[in-house]
Amino acid sequence: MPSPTSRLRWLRAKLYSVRNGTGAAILPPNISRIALSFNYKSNNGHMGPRKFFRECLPRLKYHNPDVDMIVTRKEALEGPATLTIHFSDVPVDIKSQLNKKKQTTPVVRETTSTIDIDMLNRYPDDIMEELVQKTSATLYSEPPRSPELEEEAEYLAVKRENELKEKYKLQRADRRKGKDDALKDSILA
Amino acid sequence: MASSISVCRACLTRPSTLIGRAPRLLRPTSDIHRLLPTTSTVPSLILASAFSTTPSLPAGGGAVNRAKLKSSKLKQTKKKKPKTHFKIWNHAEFPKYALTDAMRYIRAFEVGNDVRQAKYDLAVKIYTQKNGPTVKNRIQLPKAVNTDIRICVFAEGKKADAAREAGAVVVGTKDVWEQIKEGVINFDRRSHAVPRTGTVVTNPAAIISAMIGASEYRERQGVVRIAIGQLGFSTEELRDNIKVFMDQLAKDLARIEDFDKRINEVVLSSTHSPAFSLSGEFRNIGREEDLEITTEVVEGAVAAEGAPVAAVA
Repeated sequence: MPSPTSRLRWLRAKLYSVRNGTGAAILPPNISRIALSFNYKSNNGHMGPRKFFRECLPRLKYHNPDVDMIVTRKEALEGPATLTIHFSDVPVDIKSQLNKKKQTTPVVRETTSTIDIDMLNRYPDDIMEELVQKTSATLYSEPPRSPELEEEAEYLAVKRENELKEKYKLQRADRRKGKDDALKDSILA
Repeated sequence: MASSISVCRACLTRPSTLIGRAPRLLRPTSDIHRLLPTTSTVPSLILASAFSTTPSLPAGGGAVNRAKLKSSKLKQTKKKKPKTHFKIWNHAEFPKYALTDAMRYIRAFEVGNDVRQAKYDLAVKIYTQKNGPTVKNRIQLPKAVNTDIRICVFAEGKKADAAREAGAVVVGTKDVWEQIKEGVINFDRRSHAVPRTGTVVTNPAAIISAMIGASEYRERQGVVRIAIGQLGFSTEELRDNIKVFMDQLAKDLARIEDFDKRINEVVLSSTHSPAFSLSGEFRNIGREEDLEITTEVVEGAVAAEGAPVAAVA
């Protein structure tokens, strides 16, 4: 098992990037499902959908854990690339669910209407913008850190920098000493 | 041999190797150099002939292999104590995640993947000796992970019916054998019935129910790994699986006597996601970063930012 330090360093960055960025939006509760359909190969304008799937969809899923996200990919080289949004009736107890933080067994909600977004030959940002417009979703951005935390982070950064400076100084001295020792040895030999 | 190269004996540097510094070293400025007769033009050479710092040769007159001496000295200094235990880390200061938080992240990373194929993996780091007995066992999880196992039973009469009821896909005797020969049934030779593995039994129904949904685990390199659930499992189902597994593992560890084995860390990951160190809580309460994200929280954040709202709407 890798050490906790090495695991943590990139995990922190990874988690930040899944919370923030293009695609970090909170969908209204009447959306039950988002279905993507595009090709495996990026020919004929299927690169944008793929990028959307890889970059934006994880963020969307993180902020909307209860929305089903289904990805269907085809072997074809041509054809449409669509994003289908399924709307359904808002479950009655959604508010009480939020308050109680109680998870019930996932109930398949019946789709009342759908909207299609054409993803062919488009960039992920562009697709996301249309998605937000059509669903009137709320964009998410990380709440700013409290001033105390900010101060502490600054202090820690400075401390770390100083520690590194000391460390490098010692390392440099060691290297120099090692060189001199090696030279002495070679002369004595 | 020392006299054959020009070396400053006072500072033990060879002028030829230090081209940039050579003039400074050759100049008789240090105290030792001043003691020398002023007539000498190359003080280092005279010094070398005056005395020798090399130790006198052994009485036998045999040559000393200096390279060997040197390497043996190095080895002596670098010798370490052999490690008896697998390395463990102090991870007290590192963030731990509640189960629901970890699952939420994992589901985001696994979006678009088959919920049956992708699995939650649990890795339990154990503080243990490198040699000695290891943990190895089977477990029947409350909700089975490997559900795609198909069992063929050779049986007749009542036992055949019982096996069919227990979940065997193919039951029969000679007719099944003929079908396997003809290649109608895709049969895996490696999982053939063998007495040693306990698959030749008098009561097939019992072992079938044990095989379907049972998973094996063993300790390797101080870590026990097990597939603990499918991606489609709910938080409660996964929690129950983890609970049952951890209970049994604790018993397994306690059963090994005379060896100190302790659980060090529990890490949850999945087929395509990073790993999360579990805190042992089901749901995280009270920490700021784990606030339930409701629309109110978001609106507050957006209001603080100000600008992006207009850009989007």
